[in-house]
Amino acid sequence: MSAPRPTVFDRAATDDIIARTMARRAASDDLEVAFTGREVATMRLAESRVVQAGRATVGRVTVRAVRAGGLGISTTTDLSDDGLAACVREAEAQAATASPHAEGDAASLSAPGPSREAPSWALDADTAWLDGETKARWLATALEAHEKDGLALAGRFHTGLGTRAVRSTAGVDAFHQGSYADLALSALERPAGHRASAYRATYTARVDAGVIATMAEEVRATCHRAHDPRPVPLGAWDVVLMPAAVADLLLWLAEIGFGSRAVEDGTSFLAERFGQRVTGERVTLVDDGLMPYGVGVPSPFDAEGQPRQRVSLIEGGVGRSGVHDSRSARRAGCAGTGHASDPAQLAADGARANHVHFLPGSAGVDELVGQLDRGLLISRFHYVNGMLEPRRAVMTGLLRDAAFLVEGGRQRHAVETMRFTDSILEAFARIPAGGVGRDLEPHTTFDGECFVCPPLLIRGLQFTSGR
Amino acid sequence: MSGLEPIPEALADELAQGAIRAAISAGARFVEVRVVKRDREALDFRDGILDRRRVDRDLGVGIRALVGDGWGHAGTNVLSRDGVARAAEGAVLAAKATAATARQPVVTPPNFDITYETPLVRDPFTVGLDEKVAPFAAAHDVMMAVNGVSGARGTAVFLSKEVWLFTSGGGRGHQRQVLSGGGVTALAKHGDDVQIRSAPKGFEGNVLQAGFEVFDDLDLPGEAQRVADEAVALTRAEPLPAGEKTVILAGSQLSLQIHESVGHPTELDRAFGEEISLAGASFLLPEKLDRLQFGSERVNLTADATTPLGPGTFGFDDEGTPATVTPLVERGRFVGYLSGRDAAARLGKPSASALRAESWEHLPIVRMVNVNLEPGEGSLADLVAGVDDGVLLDVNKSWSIDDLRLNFQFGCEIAYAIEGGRLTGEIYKNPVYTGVTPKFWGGCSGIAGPEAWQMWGWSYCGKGDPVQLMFVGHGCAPARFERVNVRST
Repeated sequence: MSAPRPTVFDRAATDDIIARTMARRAASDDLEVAFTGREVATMRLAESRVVQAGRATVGRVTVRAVRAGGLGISTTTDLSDDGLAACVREAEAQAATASPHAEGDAASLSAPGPSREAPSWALDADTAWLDGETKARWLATALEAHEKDGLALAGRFHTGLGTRAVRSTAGVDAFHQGSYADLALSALERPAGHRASAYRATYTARVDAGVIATMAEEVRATCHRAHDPRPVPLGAWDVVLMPAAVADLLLWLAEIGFGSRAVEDGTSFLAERFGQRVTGERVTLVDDGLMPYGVGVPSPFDAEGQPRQRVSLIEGGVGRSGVHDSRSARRAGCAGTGHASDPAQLAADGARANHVHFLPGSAGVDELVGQLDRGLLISRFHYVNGMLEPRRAVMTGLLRDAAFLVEGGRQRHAVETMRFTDSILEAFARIPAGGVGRDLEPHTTFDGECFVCPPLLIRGLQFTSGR
Repeated sequence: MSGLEPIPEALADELAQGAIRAAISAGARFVEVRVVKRDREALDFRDGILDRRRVDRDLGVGIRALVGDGWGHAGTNVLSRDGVARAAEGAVLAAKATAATARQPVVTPPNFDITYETPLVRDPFTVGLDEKVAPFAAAHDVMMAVNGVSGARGTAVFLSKEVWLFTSGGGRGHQRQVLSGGGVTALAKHGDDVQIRSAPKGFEGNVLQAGFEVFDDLDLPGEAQRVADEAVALTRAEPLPAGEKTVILAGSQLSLQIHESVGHPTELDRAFGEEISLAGASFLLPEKLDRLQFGSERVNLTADATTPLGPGTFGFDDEGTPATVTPLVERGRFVGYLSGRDAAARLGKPSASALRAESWEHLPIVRMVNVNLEPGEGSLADLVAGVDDGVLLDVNKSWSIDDLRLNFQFGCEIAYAIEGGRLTGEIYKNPVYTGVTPKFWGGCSGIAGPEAWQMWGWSYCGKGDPVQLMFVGHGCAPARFERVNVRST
């Protein structure tokens, strides 16, 4: 690990912000102050150019106040004394107002759970402070190679440092800093998006020039192989999904199935089915923020400062557990699992599984493809939506970037986009023996979540429409 | 909650001038500074009680610096003199990175001096909590009394966004937009099936640019009985038989159809391939402008940043362009794009005043304003009367569209059967419809008139990389489409 470098939100600055906030406590039984900091450098590529570049320094304080069982939540980025005081005042006023309605669901702050330390590789200073000039230098060869081939290179190269600290009167005192690189590259025949393309992405705590070079070369070569995509018939296809495609599906399984609100509402496919078979026996999903396979971006505790526990979600196809924050755990009469979502996210609604891992098998991608008599190799999906029928996990989405027809275990030619619509739980039940791949990849989403996936072989995925 | 204090003008000016000086000193040839304050209150209701209330204040500075022909952006909420200067220098460094590969000339804009404020009957930030809770509690009481209803949910959102915009050329703008709205949902279970019905639409409800008075029109308690009854009925309903039918889209579903299949593909940055890294491109390439028949001759679509109640209404966009009205589709022909100044200049066109940022930390990008379907004539009943075999689809449940915005599939909460020009009373569960954008709009055979036209707000439109959320509006009246593929999941 490189030597630490100066940061706006270092431990001392964070302690100061939290202490100034705590000092404003006036009318609460308990108070929790959470700080999230992001110091990021963003870069976006299109048409083999750097089309957007930016920096952001964002520090945000969230206060949760409890008074006589009532809960108040307030968030601010106004880090002045007056701004922090107003935030505390607002949370305490809310808690007082909520108190008379708290019967049967009295709020309280939890004492810290058993600690889980982030791995040492979670913070790579070189990645956290990677500057635009260095990024441009690392990308220069790739940009030139794509232009030379008549291809457009597009993508994103965001890096930064994330800081999270939580302190409460109930004894929570947690602090974590970690680096991240959110990197995606697409090679495209022009006009971009209308012809052949190829895509690779990763979400990692450490990046270097070699990662860029490898990914860029891979998309360039794949894009050439994807030249002249052709239509294939709709219907059921055996498919090999590369990890980015699997990640799209896991994201939606987490959205509709593993969160506390979906289970409470009965809309989750796991509701009233814990202990029952919900999908195929080759499917084992766990949520673990410490990223036990050494890939991805670790997050050791949640928005309440509670250590993220490893949670078995589906084990051998059997529904095991959802995830909980302190409130949903209280309602369910169980222990919290350290999955509180950040209240500053307006759409946040209960506990979320943010670090789902699909446990790997032993097959290489070539071995999976070799099992296809006639099928499709799919690099990723576009615009998956899992809201169609959540109890069956019916999802829809489209092929995007370099899907190939496979015959007799050999890749033939690229295929045009088409839409799948299928129950993913039922599709996962059609993963054959030897159908789970070995090599895991970490992928992220809009909210910095991290899904770690192997490639999969699925029999009979239903494709329902095309262009 | 008391009313909100505005950003002191002197503070905004001091922050902006400090940023402009620092950026010019670091090498910028032009600078824009936004001082932004957002206040949000979100209420979540569950089975008749206020389950959670969140209040969020967001204050910071966004700086866009121009070096050569490259823009760079930096945002910070470290508002000390050093903090703002450091951000300004960061914006210049970022601009140098984009300038190194820039290919299009950037012309600095004319000066402006604009103020705007949402006209409010009742500022929601002066309304007490009890009054905000009351319509939801009343609606939930009605819903929970219906046999078979397993849960009642509701959300309310109130948002104030105040922006001061200054440029190094002397441009100056100040505006405050206020949004209010919400909705309710009934859940019903029967065996293993769970169904939902929402009013006036799903997810965040209908959030409009207005004050608390919008809740008078939403009439959530008045909608509760119907919503609850239909949720229960859906648990016993049959799936929609697959086939090609005439489809009428009710207003809220049509607003999302417009959003996904008109709003996004007419974004000029997408057409130029600059949105590839996240959302994709657009089938509406520049060479199709003024040539492509996008829809039937009944179809007129307009980007309008001035529509009353529209969440995409403002005085100026985030680079100081005054709010404008831009035709996108006229008599079915594709005639215009959503754009900012630089993208529009590449086509020799004026900006559509559509360069917007979620907040101070975000780079302004091409975003929708209000993208409206102009009204036709007659009523919803008149549209139904023209259908032999079809369905009326209401309230979105799922959405997906390809990266060129051609193949789409939407799921709705409910389908009402239409036979022989009338609603039969039969309903279907889990309906979806699929199409390809120009063919679908080409099949538009009727649009209801001005009396049925209303504004629908969407506050979670995601775009950009890193992604930004934006509130946008779509005014429309129900419309009828021929030969649409429908089925249930």
